[in-house]
Amino acid sequence: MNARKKFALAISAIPLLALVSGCNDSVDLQAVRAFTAKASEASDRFPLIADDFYASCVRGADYVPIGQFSQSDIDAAVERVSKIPDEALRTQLQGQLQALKPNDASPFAYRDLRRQECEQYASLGRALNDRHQFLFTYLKTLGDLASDQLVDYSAAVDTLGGSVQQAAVTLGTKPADAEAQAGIFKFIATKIFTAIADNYRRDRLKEYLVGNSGAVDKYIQFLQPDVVAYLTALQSEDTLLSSYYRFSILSEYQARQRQLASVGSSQPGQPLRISSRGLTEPAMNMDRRLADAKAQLQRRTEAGKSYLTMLKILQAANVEFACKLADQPAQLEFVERCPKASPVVEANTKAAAKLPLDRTLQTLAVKYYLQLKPEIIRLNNFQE
Amino acid sequence: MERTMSESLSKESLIEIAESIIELARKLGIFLETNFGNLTDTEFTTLHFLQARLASTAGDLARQAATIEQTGIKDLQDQLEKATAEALRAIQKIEQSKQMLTFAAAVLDFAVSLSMGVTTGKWTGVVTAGSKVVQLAATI
Repeated sequence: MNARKKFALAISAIPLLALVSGCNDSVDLQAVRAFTAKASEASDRFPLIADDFYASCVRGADYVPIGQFSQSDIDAAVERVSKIPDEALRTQLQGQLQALKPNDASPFAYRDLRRQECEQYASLGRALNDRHQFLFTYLKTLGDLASDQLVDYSAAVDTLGGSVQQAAVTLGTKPADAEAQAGIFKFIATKIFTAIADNYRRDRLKEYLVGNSGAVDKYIQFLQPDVVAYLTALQSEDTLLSSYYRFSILSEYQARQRQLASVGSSQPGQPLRISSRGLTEPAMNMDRRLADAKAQLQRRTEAGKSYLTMLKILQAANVEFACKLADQPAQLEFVERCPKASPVVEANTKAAAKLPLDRTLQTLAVKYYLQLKPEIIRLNNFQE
Repeated sequence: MERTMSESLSKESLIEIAESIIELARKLGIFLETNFGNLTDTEFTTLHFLQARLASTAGDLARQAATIEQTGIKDLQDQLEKATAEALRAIQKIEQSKQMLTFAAAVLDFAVSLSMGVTTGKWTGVVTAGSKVVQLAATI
């Protein structure tokens, strides 16, 4: 890490360090609360990403070039539409396709069809959001446990159960991570805490972080392809967008060149109306629109990447917390991924000497808070 | 809504193949720009449409990947990845528009059958289309 980065990290840690050193409350528990609160900020932004799955499909369809609609296009569309799960949408599009004739079709017919096919993804955002909110609810329960509030997990269990059932219904799948979710449920459902001394909280946090670690690891692993798929959908949109504008600009440029050549040959001395960039005015306008659309797409891509990085940080945090807190290797499903100096792996070495529970919680919470912070800032740049 | 997927393809590999198809669409775009002045209007329009269909289908695959259940990775993944890798290798070598038309159409057929396979769990079409891409690529 270079000096500038270290300095930036040190500066960004000041509010957290002030927080954890300036109150009567236990600093380690405050650090845990700050960490879970920072991670939970992403829960407000993820719905924008989830909804953009559908929106990206619509935007991409709008960049499909207008023009010919061949019989092979119709055949492929018939096949594609026949697999749309939503019966009402399927029936509607099948009716439209039956009436479609290649030679009579509007030049916009193919684009319009692609646009309407996007409707099958209209509810995808909500389903994805429900699936991801499960993770944030889990994080919130960790934060609650580190607070001075009474913690009743029955409410959390209801929320988590509702989220997963809704995601399963909307996505139409039995969640592949059902085992992981069941593990988290089972653990939470058995923990109704009402007591509240700090030492008691620390012990429960340790139990919670270690006991849930395997299920949480699998669950975060399960969520990551959603975000990779989103980033790929944005790449598809980017290709359509670039192609649409660049070929429109090229066509305009070529037409203008031909026109100027024609005028030039018949009327010597006619001034050339081409900008210093070699583009005509209409082409310049298209060039600007392309740049604006690209910039928006770039912000969405950056936000998606930051969310993915945030998931990876949470996954690493989950592993390290568990490795540093577990008493026995048998408590962990991923002991082979623990750092070599983890107490649970090298119990007898000096390097692996176990820190007190409060120090471990505080050190790790601050470490991962600092890693999360820049990603959350980038994620907040996502624009609707 | 019910999505099914055979045990033949993982969510991650489906996304990777979608990314490769987008890359193919980009390469086709470069071909179009490079040969803009040499293509007839019909050739240009047809290739431009093929490019848009490739990119759109890749977007479909990505969205499908978000809706399906993660499954095990089996033999089919190797075949599909080989087809996309061969296609990427070949498309960079194509210099003639007719060859590009034939090849891009074969890749699109492959991408569309893959999308069908994801929703139906039937992979016969994609294996045939993938084999054709590999065969064509070998001649380029």
